[in-house]
Parts: sequence; structure tokens; C-alpha cells
Amino acid sequence: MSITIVTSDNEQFCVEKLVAQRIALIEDMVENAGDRPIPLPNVTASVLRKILEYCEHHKNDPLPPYDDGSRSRTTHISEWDQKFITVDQEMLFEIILAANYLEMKPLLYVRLNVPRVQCLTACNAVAGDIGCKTVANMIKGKSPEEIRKLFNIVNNFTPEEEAQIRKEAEWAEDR
Amino acid sequence: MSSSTIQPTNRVPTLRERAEIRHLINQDQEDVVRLTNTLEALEKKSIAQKGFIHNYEEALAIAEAMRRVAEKTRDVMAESENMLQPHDADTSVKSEGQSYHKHQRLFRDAQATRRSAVEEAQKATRKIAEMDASIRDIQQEIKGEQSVLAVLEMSMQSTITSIERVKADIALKEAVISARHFVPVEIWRDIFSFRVSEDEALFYDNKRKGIPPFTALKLSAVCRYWRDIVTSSAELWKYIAVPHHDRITVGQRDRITYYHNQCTPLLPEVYTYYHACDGIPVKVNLVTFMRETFAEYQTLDMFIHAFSLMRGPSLRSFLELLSPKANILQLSGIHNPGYTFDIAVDSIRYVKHLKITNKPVSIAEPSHGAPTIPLISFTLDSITLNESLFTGSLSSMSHLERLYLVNVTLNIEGPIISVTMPALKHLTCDLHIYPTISRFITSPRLDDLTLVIKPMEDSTMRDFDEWLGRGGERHPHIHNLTLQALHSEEFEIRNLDDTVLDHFPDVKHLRLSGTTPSSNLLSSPTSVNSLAHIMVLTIIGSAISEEELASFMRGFAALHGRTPKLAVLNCSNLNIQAIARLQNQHY
Repeated sequence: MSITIVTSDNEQFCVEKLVAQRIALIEDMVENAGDRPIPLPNVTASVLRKILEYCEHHKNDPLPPYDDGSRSRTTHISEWDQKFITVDQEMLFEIILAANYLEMKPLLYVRLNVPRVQCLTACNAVAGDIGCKTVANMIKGKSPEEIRKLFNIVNNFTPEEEAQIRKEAEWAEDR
Repeated sequence: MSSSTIQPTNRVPTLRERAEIRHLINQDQEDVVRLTNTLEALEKKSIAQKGFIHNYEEALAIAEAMRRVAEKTRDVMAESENMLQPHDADTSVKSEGQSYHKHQRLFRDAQATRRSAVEEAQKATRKIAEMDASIRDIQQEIKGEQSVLAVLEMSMQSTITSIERVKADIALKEAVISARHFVPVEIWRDIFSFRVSEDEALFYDNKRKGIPPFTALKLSAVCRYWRDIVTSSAELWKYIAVPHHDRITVGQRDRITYYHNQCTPLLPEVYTYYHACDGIPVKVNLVTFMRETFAEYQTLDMFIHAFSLMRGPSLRSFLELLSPKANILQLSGIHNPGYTFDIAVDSIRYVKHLKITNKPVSIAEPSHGAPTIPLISFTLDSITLNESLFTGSLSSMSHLERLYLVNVTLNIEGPIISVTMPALKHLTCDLHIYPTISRFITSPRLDDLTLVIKPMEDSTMRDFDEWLGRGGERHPHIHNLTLQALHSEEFEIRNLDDTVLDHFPDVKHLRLSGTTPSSNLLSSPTSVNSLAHIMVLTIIGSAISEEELASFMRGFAALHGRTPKLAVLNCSNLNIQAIARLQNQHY
């Protein structure tokens, strides 16, 4: 059985229901939509294509492991996911935004504050998680200046703020 | 909005601005296509122009060579004429005979040769003039073509510059409307949280030596937007690194205070670390500073070493002075069997959970005699235990609800004296020490037991059976039993069902964590008997297959006319559909 999804740039995707069900937002919409196409006004075709590629690969995966937000959280990404997320920076952020919109956030159950077992059954694919981990990996070990260069961020601190930041940078040298 | 008004900014553009900038980007991209086409046309013309110049240069070379040949011819002919000039007049004596005729023949020949030389010299001179004209002509052509080429090359360079400028404009506009600007604050928090957690974990795993990561501090120095997010996210500041020194620098004091202020209202997770600050004045007394700064800790994690690497006070006296109000006090040391770490009861009177790793510990009563040790949970990890733990420390823990004894080695020499622990509800211990532990502790409220399983000898299992008394001593008060494998690889434990499960006849909730317990128990036909009362079966982190689990459920249903409620977490061979089938199937 398949369902039809329409993207913001009016491209139609015919998707196997099992694959689409990895996306929480679509899973919720399928029941009400009947045979009508499901519109995704915030996702473009190129991004949805990537998201569906992810869902297709992970459609038979077991549920994602419980993440308790403790110090042992890791930014490890599996080999396939690593290849999947090797995209240009703009696409990376687009995937993160789409995963957020499509409610593919793995940390949902942590924030909902409901019992772990119940929440795990409602937890879906983790494309957004991989996106966040990838960005976290990108900034690993980088100085503020290197991070600015990486993301085209403008240093917009006032001279007073700069002075405070210089002081904090000295703290980071642990002296 | 024109291209010139767009400036680099961290501001999130409005939807209208985004649409307009997208429109400008489309225009720019059209410009790039147009300019690229122009550049290609110019390149073609330039190649053709270079061909023209090449041909003219080749022609010039030929003309110059021919001129040199003509010049040489003219010179040779002039020299020939000069050589014959002395014989221009007929100086012979007319006579009969052969000599006169011979002279006349040669004389005429010489005159003809001289005339010919003159003619050739004149011809060569004309050729030289002709080549000179040609050379001048070609040189002019080359100059003209070169000038055209220069114009073409200038046009190309200007087009390339234009393309680069438009592309830079596109990049700037794309940066302004980048999806990065629309990433919600909570996602940035997640990203930062990943970074902080991993950096802290790496530092922790690296034995907390050197400079701590200070990730939140670095992230907050990128831009105002990031700083706002980081400084409004208390959880990014909760790990507070404190030097394992009795005195610290003013900079360290200020940094710790800053972190603590940022972390509020969360309780901090404070840990000590080794880092030498040689040559820098250490003016701040650590224990005084910590007493004044931290009213309460979520976690206080310290090395069991004297402060300042043996120069400062012992940890015992440090703790006595600090007397921390901590949910969790975690102390870890270097394994040294000959040394027991002493803690005064007074120093942990505000601690709820105490965890000791790698160092034998004794908790001494104060001289004035405090009645109890007010801990709720107590963990001993990687330690050799003797009977004094039970007769000493544990006997005073009347509020203790949870006890964890993992990776421990028992060194019991004295007689077993049972200690009553009235509040104890949960015990986690290594499977092989449970028989001994259960004899030392009388715990009427204990109903939740976790046994940690490691690869072990069959003899250990026999001991287990003998200690507990086969078919004799049973533990009916245990209603929640967890069998947890410490190693992810599967290993075999013989008779896990009748050796262990038989002793816990009233287990209502059985949790099997790791592949070994589930594969050893659920595939055994006799385990269905042993698990008669279970209402809930939880399988965690196992490689068990759907068929194996279904087979167990069928066997259970056949024997007991019902099945336990099934919960499955993190099992690699069970996907969502398999879990749903297992849960909904009528066996």
C-alpha cells in the first residue's frame, strides 16, 4: 500500500506506507487524509527525496536506543548514515529543518516526560538527530573564529562584549 | 531591495525579504549563465585570433629567412663581380695559334659571368626590398591582430571578474537566507548539548587530565545569537570542572563562579580534574570557596587522592570541611588493595547517593556517635570487600533503599553475621556473590533484584546452587528480577533457569538485559516452568529472534493458559512490525 505526498514545489511522491510511517507527522496525517495526497508545504522535493531515502533504508530498523541526555551521549553516526548526511551545508540544515517539521526528532520522549517504554513506541526515525550530530561534529575542536568561517557567521559583538569574551577566553586556558 | 543593500548579517530575514532575495539570486544566476556564454564566445574568438597571429608570425619568419638568403646572394654576387673586375678589358695579343683563342674564350666567359653576377646582385637587391616590404606589412598585421587579442583578453578577464562578483553576491545572498537562520533555538540547544556531552565524556574518559573542554564558554563566543542561546541554556553549564588542588587561581575561581551562575537553577555536576598551573599564584582556598559557592550539588565527583597531589589535605579532611549537600557523591581512586578509604559519617550527612569506585571504603561513625548513615543508595564498584562492610558501614544505613555491588571480589574470612537493612528495596550485585550477600543482609522490603552475569565457570554455578540450597532456600519476596549481562557478546551459562530462576518463584516482572540471559533462558524448555508467575517480560538489548521469542510465548501459553505482557527495547533483530506481531498475536 502506498500514499501520495506533495511537496512545497508541487512535486508528487508515491511512497510505500511502511516507509512513510517512519515520519511521525505523516503517520498522524494518513488516518485523516484517506486517499487524498498529503501536502507538505514546508518541504521541497530535493529535501523530501533525501528524507525518504533515509526512511527507506531504515524502514525495518529496531527502535532507536533510549537517550537519557547524560554525559555519555555520543555524536557517533553509523557508516550508512554518515554517507547519507555527506551533503552540502545548506542541504544539511534543510534536512534538519525538515526532520524537525516532520517530527522526526528522537529526543521527543525525553522532553515529553512520559514513561520511557510508552514513548519509545511513538518514537520515529532519527534523521534530525543525525543532522544535529553532524553539525555538532562539524564544530568539534574548532575555535569561535573557525566556527564563524565555517557557517558564514558575522562576529557582531560590541566592543564591551568583546572585552568580556576575551576574559572568558583566558578562563578557557585554565590559568 | 537591490543587491548593493544586502550586507552580511546574523539577523533572520522576514519571509518577504527571503522571497525578494531568492528572486535576486535567480536574476544573478541568469546573469552568470549569460556571462558564461559571453565568456565562451570570447574564448573561441581569442583562440581564432591567436591562430591568425601564429600564421603571421610564421610568415614573418619565412620572409626574414628569405631576406637573409637574398642578402647573402647579393653579397656573394657583388664579391664575384669584384673578383672579375680586373679582367674587364681585353689585354690579349692577337696571334695565330691556340693561346689567343683560349684567352678569348675565357675572357668572354668571364664577361658573361660578371654580367650575370651584376644581374643576380640587382635581382637580390630587389628581393631584399620586396621582403622588407613584406616584413613591414606582416609586422603591422601582427600588431593589429595582437591589439584585437588584447581587447579580447581584457573582455574575458572582465567577464571572469563579473562572474566571480555575481557568484560572490549569490553566496552572500544565500548566506543571508540560509536554512541555518531558520534552525529553531531548541535544535541549536540539541546541537550544543551533543557537543558539550561528548566533549565532557571524552575528558572524563581521558582520566580528567589537562584542560577541561569548556565547550559552553567557547560556543558562547561565536556570535550574539549563539551566546543568547548558550547563556539561556542552563544544562550546557551544568558540568563544572574544579582543579583537584587545595588552592586555585583567581581566574579559575571566576570561571567556576560564572559557570555556576549560568547553570542556576539546575544543580551543578561538579568534578575535580588534574591540571598543573605552574608559576601562577594560587590564592583561593578551594574548600572555603566551594562552601561559599555551592549550596547544593547534583553530583560531586572527586578523586580519592590528597589535594594538590599529596601536598594538600586528605580527601577525608576535605570532605569533613566541605560536608557537601549532594544528591550524588562519587569518589574514585586507583586500585590499591592494601588501603581502605575512610569517610566520616558527618561529612556525608547531606549526601543521598554515594558511589565509590576502585577503592575499599569504610564509613566511620563520628566520635559523638551518629545513629545512622542517611544514604538512600550506595554503590561499590570494582572493589574487594570483606565482612567489615556488612558489620560496619551497612549496619548503620537504616534508610538505604538501593545497594549496588558490582565487579566486586569477596574476601570473607570471619563468620557471617546478618545485618538488617529495613529500607532496602533494590539490590544489584554480581550473580556469583548474591548467595553470600543474601546471607549477610536481612532485608524484609527487598523485592527488586538485579543480578549481573559475567562469563563464569560451571563450578561457580554449582556454588550458587549449593549456597542457596537446591530446592530449599527460596526467595519469594523478590517480585522484580533483572538478569543483566555485562558483556555484549553472547556466552553460555548452563542451567541458568533451574539454578537461578528456581530460587525466585514469585517473580512478577522479569527483565532480561543483553543477549546471554534471553538466549539461555527463553530457549530452554524448562524455563517456562520456572517463570510461572511472571506478568511482564522485558527484553533489553538482545539479539533474540522473533521466532525464538514467539516459540517461548507459545510454550508459555500452552502450559499456563496465558502469556506475560511483553516489552522490548533496543533488540537488533526485532523491528517495529515484529514487536507488534509478538504483542498482538494470540498464542
